[in-house]
Amino acid sequence: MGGQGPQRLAGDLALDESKQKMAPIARPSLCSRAMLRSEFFRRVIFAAMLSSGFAEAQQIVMSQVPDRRVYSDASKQAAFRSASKFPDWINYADCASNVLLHFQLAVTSIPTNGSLQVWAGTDDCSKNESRTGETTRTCWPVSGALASTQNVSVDVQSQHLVSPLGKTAAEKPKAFADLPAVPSAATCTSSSSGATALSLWFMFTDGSNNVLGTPLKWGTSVDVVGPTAPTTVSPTAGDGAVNLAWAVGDAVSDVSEYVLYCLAQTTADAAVSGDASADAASDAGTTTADADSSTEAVDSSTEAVDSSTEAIDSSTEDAGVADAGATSSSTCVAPWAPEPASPLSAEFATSIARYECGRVGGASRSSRVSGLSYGTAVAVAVAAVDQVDNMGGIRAGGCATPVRTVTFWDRYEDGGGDAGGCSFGSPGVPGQSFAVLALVGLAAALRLRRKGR
Amino acid sequence: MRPRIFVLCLLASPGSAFAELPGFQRPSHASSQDFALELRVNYGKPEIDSAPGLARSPYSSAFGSESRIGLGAELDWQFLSIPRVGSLGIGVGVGRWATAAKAVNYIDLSPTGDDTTLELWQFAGLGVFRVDALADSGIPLVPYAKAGLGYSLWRAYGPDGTYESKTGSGNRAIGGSYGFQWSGGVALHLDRFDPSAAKNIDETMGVNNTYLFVEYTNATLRSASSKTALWVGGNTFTTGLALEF
Repeated sequence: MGGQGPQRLAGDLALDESKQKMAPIARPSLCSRAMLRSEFFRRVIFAAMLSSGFAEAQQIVMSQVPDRRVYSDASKQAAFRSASKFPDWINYADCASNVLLHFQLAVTSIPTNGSLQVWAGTDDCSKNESRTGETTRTCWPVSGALASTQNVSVDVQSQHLVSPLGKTAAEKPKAFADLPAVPSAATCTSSSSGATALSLWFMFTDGSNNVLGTPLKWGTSVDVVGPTAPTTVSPTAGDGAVNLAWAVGDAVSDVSEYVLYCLAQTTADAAVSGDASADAASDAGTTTADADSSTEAVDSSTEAVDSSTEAIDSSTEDAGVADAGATSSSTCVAPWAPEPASPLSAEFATSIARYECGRVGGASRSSRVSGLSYGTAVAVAVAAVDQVDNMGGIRAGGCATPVRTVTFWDRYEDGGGDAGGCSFGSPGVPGQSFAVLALVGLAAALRLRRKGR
Repeated sequence: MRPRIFVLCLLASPGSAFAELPGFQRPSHASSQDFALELRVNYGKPEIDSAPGLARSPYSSAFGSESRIGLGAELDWQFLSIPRVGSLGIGVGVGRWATAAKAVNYIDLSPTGDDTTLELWQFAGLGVFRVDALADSGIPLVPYAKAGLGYSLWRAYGPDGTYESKTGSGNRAIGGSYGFQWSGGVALHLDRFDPSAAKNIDETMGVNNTYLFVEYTNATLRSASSKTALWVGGNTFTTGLALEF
């Protein structure tokens, strides 16, 4: 979704401020978020509002849907997140790579004594005190001098939107030159793990910083801090699987989903890096049984049953042993052990993406990774991710070794039981007959009841 | 006529009208009384290990020897009231019972992280005879007996779903077993302890009588002793709340 080439939209009709607030790219809270997150819907609404004719004439309008560009090459488009993950917001990855927000503006009336500027802030940047007041400044400039022409392209750096956010009024940049010239992911921090609403203001100002005409406002949100990682992750062995359970702190919120990571501890995997480990990790990470392990499981089923027979015979003395196949984390080799500091760098998040073996919803506290090879330990970890894909940290869970298990059904069949197969009964009175009898009885009862009245 | 046959004959004779027999009149109530609803808490375990030819007690080995709790409900239609004796009815019951334990490592029998679960959905069609004579004479107890047909759907499953056979039989761990069952119990008539509240409930909600009951049930759900049946019947103790309305 997103990332297509900008479309030229005909017409110079302007949007007044109230109309822009209705636009999904500004604040999606009034309408269905699911619909408004859609890039397609976003573009349709944008075009409809431009062409509908109800908007009043305005000095500055967006002639295209805002786009994203790569910082190192502004001619290249940067990808949007999926529609469900607020593609217009700025997350840590956007900030770390300093994604450019690309705007194409059409100016219908150029003031003779004004210059076009772009400001960002959490309040109304059209007010003079929001831009110039020493103690009341909540806005800062995010572009240099722009050409006063009818068609203007503006690229706003993500880091220029994020870095001043937590600063005091006095610390906020007064001029564009005060912003960091060299991009640095170190500026992508925030004291809050939630989203901060932010607006960009496109406006002409005179030499006294007074706004000329009506500004154009565009809204977004900044969320660069992911949720806290789980406090503990406990893996236990299952039948060709590892069961994961994790605990979270009391204050954890803003979790959209948990990402599970797995790395099989084969000889090749122990090296962690390289193609061999990647392949093995891929094997460990699938949620459906691979053909080899399934075949192996079937081939050895007889052995398992025989073994279970012996085990059952000696169950009295053995049954209390509890280990569940988990092994000490000290024996695990994984790129996330020891755990890296939070927030994870974009590079680290990318480097471990190949070990991802599942995702579950933010309300989940457990999951199961199946399709693993018997007897091969698997290192596991869990990370929490918020609604805009910020990964707040990763919690290693040590290793667990998938085993063959003995279930009730194994014991039953091993003991000679032959039931099953979805039979609805057997020789004698079939289950269907029972159902028919019940229906006849019910009908008779209803008839009796009617007669009794 | 034996009770079971009596009930079956009753079901098979839709034209009969026992309720209209001379001398049989319903007792007078503030509201009419036709039904009884029971909310049931069961305590028991299936007799799987008792099946002939089954070695090594698979149920007890997997789940232990303790009984487990299940929940259920029963709705009876009291089609015939016999003055100074009691009532006859027919009813249907449904209940769920399940037990789970950790599957064990096949090498050393140590518990693993996988659950192994047996789940039963129990259904019954019953004839019910309640003796109101004691209650009418001032003793707030109502003995009763039930008998009828039972059917239990069963399924054994783990984290990856219903188990499949590992022996090549092709069997899946799901099926149904039927048979007969009977119960005996006694109900404590709660209305006697607070008649004014009972009257109020009757007037406002139409509930004629409220009981606490205890019941013993024996079910032989063996599908006519079929070799391929899972014996999921057994002895069950039940307690609960019964409402007549």
